Amino acid sequence: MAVEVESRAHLVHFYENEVELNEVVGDYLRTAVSSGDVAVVVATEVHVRAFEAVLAEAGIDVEEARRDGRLVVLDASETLSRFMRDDGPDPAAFHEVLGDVVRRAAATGRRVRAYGEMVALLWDAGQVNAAIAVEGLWNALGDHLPFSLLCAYPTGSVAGEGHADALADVCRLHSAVLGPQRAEAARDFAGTAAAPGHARRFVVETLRMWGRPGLAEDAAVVVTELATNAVTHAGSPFVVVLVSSATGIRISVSDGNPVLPVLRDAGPADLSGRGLPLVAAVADRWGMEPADGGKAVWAELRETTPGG
Amino acid sequence: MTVVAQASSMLELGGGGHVCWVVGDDEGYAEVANAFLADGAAAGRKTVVFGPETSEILVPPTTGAALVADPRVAFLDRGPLDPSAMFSMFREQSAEARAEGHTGLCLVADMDWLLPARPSVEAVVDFELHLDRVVAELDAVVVCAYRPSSFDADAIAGVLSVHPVEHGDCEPPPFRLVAGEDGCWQLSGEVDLATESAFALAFTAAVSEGRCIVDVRGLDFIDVRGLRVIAESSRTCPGEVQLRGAAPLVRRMWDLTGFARVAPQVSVTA
Repeated sequence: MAVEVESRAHLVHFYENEVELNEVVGDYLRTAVSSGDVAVVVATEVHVRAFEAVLAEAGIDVEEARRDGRLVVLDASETLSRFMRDDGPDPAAFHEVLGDVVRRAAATGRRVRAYGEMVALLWDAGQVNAAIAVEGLWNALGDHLPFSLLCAYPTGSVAGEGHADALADVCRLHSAVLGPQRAEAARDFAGTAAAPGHARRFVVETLRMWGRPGLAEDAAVVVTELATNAVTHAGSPFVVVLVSSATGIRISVSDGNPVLPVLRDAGPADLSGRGLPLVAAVADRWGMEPADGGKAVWAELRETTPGG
Repeated sequence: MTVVAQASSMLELGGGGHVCWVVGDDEGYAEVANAFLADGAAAGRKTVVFGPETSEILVPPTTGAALVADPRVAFLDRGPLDPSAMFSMFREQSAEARAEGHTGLCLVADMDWLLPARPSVEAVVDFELHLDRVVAELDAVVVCAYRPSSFDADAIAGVLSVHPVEHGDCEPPPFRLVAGEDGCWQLSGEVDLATESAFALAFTAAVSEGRCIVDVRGLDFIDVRGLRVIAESSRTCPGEVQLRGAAPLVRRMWDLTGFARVAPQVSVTA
């Protein structure tokens, strides 16, 4: 997957596993080095080795690139220690340390493409506020120096209802979320009154991490109504499956009751039965089918603007 | 949290001086309530204790000029719960307190006093919703103490939703319907299946008196069932119902669900 990046972009990627991380970041760095840019990598030792393996496999002489200054590698923890204080990052120290690295890379006259995971290390250490502060400091640095930046967080660390606000902050601090072209996520829910809310938050958070925030509002409406029907009509636990593709997303809710809902025309006096018609109105396509002894009701939402 | 810290935190919480305190079993009710009243007195307020004779807090009040009232005597002897009589008395007490040189009232109410009247959960939520308006109007500070041993889960969920601030053995309510500015109500948070019964209780109470304007700028989400509650309860509203400051999503949903056509007395505007 080729990663096209504008010159001063600040992108974030949320990765499911190390394989995905190596693929996305490896590709970003490979594109940079092959194009004659300077790649700056601030990562853990383990990740650096994995990325360098990707570069080597693409035919890049890693040792030479390092010697020529076309591949600059810094250890994430060690770099953190140079500007982190007890109460958070020291802005002046951050600018001195990272600013110096980026400035020297830019002085070569080449474009600078940076990758950083210090923010992920901070988040995993429970220092979510510090991670957000560092994202802000990267942005401030970007106001003075020309470089593009890719940050990566593991989805396991940033997902969850407790992190919803912080996740929204992180997304907002980036010019774009580098989402996967194709992705799938599924979760089980109990048949309780609180479940539609949990399902809604799961869908919104997942779409944020996939870089599809524009579809989140409609998706929230669709999944809430389908989940509410599963709890109130099917009376069963349910599974939400979310699939993302180039054109949009598909949400399907499966429950244990094989009885298919009937879409009826709600008459003017009739205040009930308006959930499915709303799903039909919001979705581009929708349908239902028997599934595993129960049924699945699905809805597709198309992307209206590129990148959501 | 220490007793004094609990009391201070109740007084400092949020802008509204109307707290729903869900009293857990081992909470040392009298200590916290008395500490709260002491803080109120220190702020120049006239302290009032409201509760049944047997309420712990009456034994002994440590604050100076505490007015102790048994509302069962004052109100329930005459029959069922009469909120308007209570609110009149409350306004009188507040005016008297100011005339005496106080900065207002500071009141702790042990809500067990409601029990002999056996009010419906609808009546309790209706009472608290309208009390919120009076508390805001009088710039009073009122703590309503509800015990889960006396009030069931639906009642507690309902009253939590109509207080601007909560404290004690409870989670923050997913939505709130409280007094807003200029005689409006303010609806915020998320309304869905989890809050269905509490929302029905609260919204029905809000539309009961006629022209009902609800500021919904803080409403982050509402599902079809929530919109249905609005449509249904508005049918019995003597006046118009306005949802002001509705997000584009809410306006879209009101149209797409067809409620815009079947409940024309409700206007949903940006």
